[in-house]
Amino acid sequence: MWRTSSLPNTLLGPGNVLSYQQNIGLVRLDARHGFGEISTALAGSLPLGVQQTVGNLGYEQFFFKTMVASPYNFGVSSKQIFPVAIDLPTVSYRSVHIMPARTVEEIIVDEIAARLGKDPVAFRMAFLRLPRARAVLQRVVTAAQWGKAMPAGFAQGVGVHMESRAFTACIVELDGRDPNQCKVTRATIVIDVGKPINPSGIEQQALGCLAEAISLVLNAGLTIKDGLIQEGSYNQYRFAKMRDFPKQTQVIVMPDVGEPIAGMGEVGMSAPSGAIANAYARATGRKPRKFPLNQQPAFTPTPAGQLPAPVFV
Amino acid sequence: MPTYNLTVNNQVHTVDAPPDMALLWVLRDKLGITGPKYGCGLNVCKACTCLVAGKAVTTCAIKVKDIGNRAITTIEGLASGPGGTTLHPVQQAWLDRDVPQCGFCQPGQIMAAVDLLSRTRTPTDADIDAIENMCRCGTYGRIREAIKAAGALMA
Repeated sequence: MWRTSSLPNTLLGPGNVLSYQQNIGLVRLDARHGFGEISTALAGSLPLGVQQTVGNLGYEQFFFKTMVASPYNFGVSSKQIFPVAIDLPTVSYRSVHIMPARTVEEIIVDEIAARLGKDPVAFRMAFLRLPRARAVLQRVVTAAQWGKAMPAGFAQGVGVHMESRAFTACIVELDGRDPNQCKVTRATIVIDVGKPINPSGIEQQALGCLAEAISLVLNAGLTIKDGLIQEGSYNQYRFAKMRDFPKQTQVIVMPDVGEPIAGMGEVGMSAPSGAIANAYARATGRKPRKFPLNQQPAFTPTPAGQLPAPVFV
Repeated sequence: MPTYNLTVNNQVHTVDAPPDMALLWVLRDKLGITGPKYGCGLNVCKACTCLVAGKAVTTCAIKVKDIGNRAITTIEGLASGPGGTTLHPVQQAWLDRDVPQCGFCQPGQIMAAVDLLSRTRTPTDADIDAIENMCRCGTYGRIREAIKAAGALMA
């Protein structure tokens, strides 16, 4: 579960953004296991016997500073991470720092655009720093027909992302007629990975990231109570199933124009995550602030220290 | 320990097993048939799905004593012909569409699809939505396409 607060540290000039400061509090990334050999494991674990080691904090700040960037030209801007060490074993999964940091930024970008009275796409076009970022956005706007008439309770949402020399843009359509049970009905994703090697694999990764974005933004959350995670398995942790995945999807891989090979995989997470949150805001009129956004059904947690009994039919 | 005669992939196996042992563990640990995967053990993720008497069953959630003389089909038994060289249409559709990513849930996904297509060759989106098998890689879009393509191959 993650939260975002409202526009606190953004300085808006007349029609312009002069400064953007984002502070990110997250459960720490535990990299004390090192990177495949003993020296980095030892370095990450020093000093021994404490929860928040200097070595691990160093790794985490390094990852954050080298991997999380903003595609926008927002004047004097900064992003800082404040990791919190907790007594729960954690491991990394797709897009640990980048997805929450960039998704929140995409939400705030929509809100800045609204504050300045600009269309979310036009605002992004004006502030995206790099031509390749603008190119993927332009392509998705055409393919997804941005701004087309939507039925009552439905809305489009847009997100743009840049990571590891790759660029993505996504427009989703979201059914928000029941604001507590929103559903993504269509997604269009454009991705520029520099030199595409395996287009089928790129499409797969982009669609997998879409499934994960739907899960983390709308449905799947972990509840920590008295130091214990309450969700026991996939019946309680609501990661996307077949019925949650949109029936209309399109992935457009930008052609090779001589750019170097860029990243793929995690790169696909942030644009759909931002697009879904922004579509939710536009469809329901609610600000996306606490995730997952959909209402979670009540469940009886498995008692602590006890393995659930196997179910027989 | 009681003895059970199980027909798995058209072959009769005689196994000694505790009556309450889940069929999944009989298949994997006693018979060495490892296509059905262990995910949750709670009948939730469905990675262990096999066919029992032609119907999709989560083998983590059925006891060996309850099988009786019903025939069991695992992913290993889907292909036919000498040496299993002729793929089942669902397997072929999966290959044609390059469905798997990590692959762990895919035997269960394929068996669930075989069960659905045994009931209808032209499943609706609602029929496919009723499949509850988890895929943590998120291959759902291509699974949906492959099921429809396999239905067309089988028609």
